[in-house]
Amino acid sequence: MDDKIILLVEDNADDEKLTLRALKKNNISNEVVVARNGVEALDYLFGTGTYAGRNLNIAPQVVLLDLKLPKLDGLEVLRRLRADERTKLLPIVILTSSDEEQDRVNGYGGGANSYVRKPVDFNQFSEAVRQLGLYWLVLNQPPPRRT
Amino acid sequence: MDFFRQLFLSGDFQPHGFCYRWNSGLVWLNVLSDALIALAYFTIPFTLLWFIRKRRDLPFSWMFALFGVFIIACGTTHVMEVWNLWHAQYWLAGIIKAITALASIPTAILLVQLVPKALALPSPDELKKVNRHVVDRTEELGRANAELARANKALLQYQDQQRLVFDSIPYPVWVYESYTLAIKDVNQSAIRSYGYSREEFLSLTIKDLRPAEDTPALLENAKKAPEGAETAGSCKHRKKNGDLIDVEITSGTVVFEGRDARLVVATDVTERKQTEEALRQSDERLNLLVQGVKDYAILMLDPEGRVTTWNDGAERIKGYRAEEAIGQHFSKFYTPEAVAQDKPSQDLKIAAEQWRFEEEGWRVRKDGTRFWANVVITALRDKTGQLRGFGKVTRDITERRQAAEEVERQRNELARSNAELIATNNELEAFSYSVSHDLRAPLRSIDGFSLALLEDYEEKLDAGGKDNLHRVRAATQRMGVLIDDLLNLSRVTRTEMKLQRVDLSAIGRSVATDLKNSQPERRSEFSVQEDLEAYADSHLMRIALENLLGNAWKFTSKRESACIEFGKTHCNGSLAYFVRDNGAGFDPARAERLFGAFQRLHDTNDFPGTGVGLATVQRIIHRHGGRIWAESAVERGATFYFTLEARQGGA
Repeated sequence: MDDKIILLVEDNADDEKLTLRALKKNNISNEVVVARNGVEALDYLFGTGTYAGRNLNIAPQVVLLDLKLPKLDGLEVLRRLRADERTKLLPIVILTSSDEEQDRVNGYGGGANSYVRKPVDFNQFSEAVRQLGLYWLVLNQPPPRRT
Repeated sequence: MDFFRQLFLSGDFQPHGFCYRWNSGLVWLNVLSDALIALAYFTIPFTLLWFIRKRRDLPFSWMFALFGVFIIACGTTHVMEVWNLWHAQYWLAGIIKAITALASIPTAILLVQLVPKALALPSPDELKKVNRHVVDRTEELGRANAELARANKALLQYQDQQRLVFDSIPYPVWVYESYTLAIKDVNQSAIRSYGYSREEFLSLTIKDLRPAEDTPALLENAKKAPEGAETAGSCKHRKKNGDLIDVEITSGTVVFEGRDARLVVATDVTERKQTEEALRQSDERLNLLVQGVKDYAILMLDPEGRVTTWNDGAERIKGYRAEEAIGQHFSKFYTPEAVAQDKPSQDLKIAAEQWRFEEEGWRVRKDGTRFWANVVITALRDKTGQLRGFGKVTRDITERRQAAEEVERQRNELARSNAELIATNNELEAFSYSVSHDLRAPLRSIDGFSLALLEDYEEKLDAGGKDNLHRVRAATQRMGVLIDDLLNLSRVTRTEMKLQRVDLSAIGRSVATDLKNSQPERRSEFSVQEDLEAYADSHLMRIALENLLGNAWKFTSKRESACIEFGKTHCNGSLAYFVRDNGAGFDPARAERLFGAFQRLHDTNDFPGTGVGLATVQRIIHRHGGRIWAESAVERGATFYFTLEARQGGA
C-alpha cells in the first residue's frame, strides 16, 4: 500500500495542509504529490512542463481533484484526462467545497469516479479523508496498468 | 193617184223588146248582160258592207255607205232594163234612174272632195315601213314589258322582304294614323307581346293600348304631333289580357297609304323597371346601413379623389358635415406634411394599381386635431375595368394605438425588468456558486486549524484557551450550516420545476420514517392521510415536507409523545393540505414573521435552527402558485396549511 501514490490537486494551501494532516492523522503514509493548479496536474500526469521526462509508469492510485483551480479548472482537467488514452481509466475523486447540483452533474458527466464534499467541521473532514484512503487505496481494485 | 196608176201602167208604150223587134238573140244578150250587171252591182254593196264592218278603223266609212247606195241604185236601173223589155213601165224606170242620178251626183262630188284626203293615206310601201317600225317598236315594247314584269316581281319580292323584316323586328312595332289614331299595320312581335291578332290590332286605335287616363293627353298630342319629329318616351300599355306593362316608345312620322301616320317601336321594360326598383331599394338599404354606421367613416371618392358620399361615421370621426365634405378633395384629411409629400395621390395610385391600399397613420379632423387612423382605400372598377372611383373606410384607432403603445411600453418595461431579473438571477447564481466554493473554505481552515491548535498544543493551552477555541469551532460550524441553508433556499428558487402528479402521502411517509430513524428513542405517532396527491414538483415538495414535518418533529421534542398529522381539508372552497403537531406552538401575533428568512420565534438553545426552513417552504409553495399560513397558540401545538394551485402543465 505504501508504494501507491496519491495526486492531490489543490490550490488552497490551508486545504492542502489540512488534507495532509487528515491523512497523517489516519495513518495514511502514502506518497502525496500535490499539484497546485490544473496545468501542473496535467504536466505531472503526462510528463510535460516541470515534470518533463518523468517516468509515466509511476502513476497515482487515485487523484483527489478540486474543482476551483487557477489556470485550468477541475472540470477541464477532468475532461483532458478522460480524453487521453493514458489517463481515461484513472480513478478520479472530486473533492470540493461545493455541493452545487451543476458541479455534481458536470463532475459525473465528465467521468469522475466519485464526488465528495469537504465538510466545514474538521473532524468530519478527517473522517471523510480516512474513508477515501481506505476505499481507494485498499478496497478498490485499480484498472489494469498499461505498459 | 193617177200618177202612181200611170207609173205601173204600160199605157200606150211598146215594150222595149219591141224596139229589138223581139230579135231573140239581141233580147237575151241585153237580158243576160243587164242581169249579170245587176247581180254584180248588188253583190258589191254587201262586200263593201262586210269590209266596213271588218275594218271599223278605216276612215271615210260614210263614203263607202254612199257608194253602196249609188251602186245598188245602178243595179236597180239594170233590173228595170230587163223588166222594160217586156213591160213598158218607163215612168218607173225613169224615176229609178232619177234616184240613181240623185245618188250618183253627191257621190261624185264627195268623191272629188275626198281625193286629197285619200291621197294623204299612206301607200302600201309606206305602210310596210310603218309596219316594220311598228313591229320594231312592239318588240321593244315587249322587251320593256318583260323588264317591267321582272321589276314588278322584284318589287313584290322586296315588299315581301320588307314585310318579313317588319315582322321579324324583335320589338313590337306598329303604324297608326296621326289624326284618327287608328292602327294601320302591326308586326308579329306586337301580336305575340300584346295578345291581339293582326285583325284585332287593325281594328284598334292607340287609345285602346293605353290606360284610360292617358287618353286626354294622347288626343292632345295627336293634334300637335310635331311634323317628322322623332320622339321617345315611356308609358304604360295594356295587353289584351288586361296586364299593364311598362314600355319605352320611340316613334316617328311616316306616310302610310298616303296619310300622315306614326311608326311606333315599343320595348317592354317591365322587368327592367322591376329590377331597377329592386336595385334602387337595395341601394337604399345599403345606403341606410352605410349612413348609419357610426364607428367607421365610410365614403366614396371619384377617380380624382374628391368626396362623393359621406356617412354619419365620417362626420363623427372627421368633424365635417356631409355638405362641407362632399366635393372636397380627400387630401383635406391628411396632415400638411403628408400633403407636402404628395402622399394622398400616391395612396390613390397604390389603391388603383393594387386594388387596395391600407395603412395606419395620422389624419386631421376639421378642428385641426389629429387622430391615428386605420385607412383602407379600395379601387372601384366597372365591368370593363374602368376606374370609377374609390371606397374609403377610416377608423379612429387613436385609443387603440394608445392602448397598444401602453401595452408596448409595459412589455418593454417587463422585458427590461425581466432582463434585470435574469441578470440578478445570474448574479445570484454566481454568488451562490461563489458562496458554495469560497465562503466555506475559510471556515474549514478556521475549524481545522483551531482543532490542530487544540490537538497539537493541548499541554500549552489552559482551560480558558481551550474554551475559546471550542467557541471558535462551534461558531464556524454554525456558519457552515447557515451557508448551506442559505444555499438550499436559493436553490429552491433557482431550480427548474418539473410538474407532474406527485404522491404526497408517500413522500410524507418516507420523511416520517427518516425522522423516526434519526431519533429512534422518541415516542411519536405519525398520521399520514392516504391519497394525498398534487400536481407539483416532486423534489421541491419533498424539501417542503422535510421542513414542515421536520419542524413538527423538532417542536414536539419536549413532548412525552409526539403526535404529528399530515392531511387535507377544505378551506374557503379550495383544497388545502395541513401539517399539525402537538408541540410548542407559537404566539399567533408573531405569525407573520414565521416565513421570513433567519426569523426565529424560539431560542436556539431550546430548538436549534437557522430560521431558513419556513422561508424555503414558503418559496416552494409560492412557486406552485399556492399560499401558506399557520395557526397556533403557545404550548398548544401548531398547524401549517398550504395550497397548491400550480397551473396544469405550466412551469
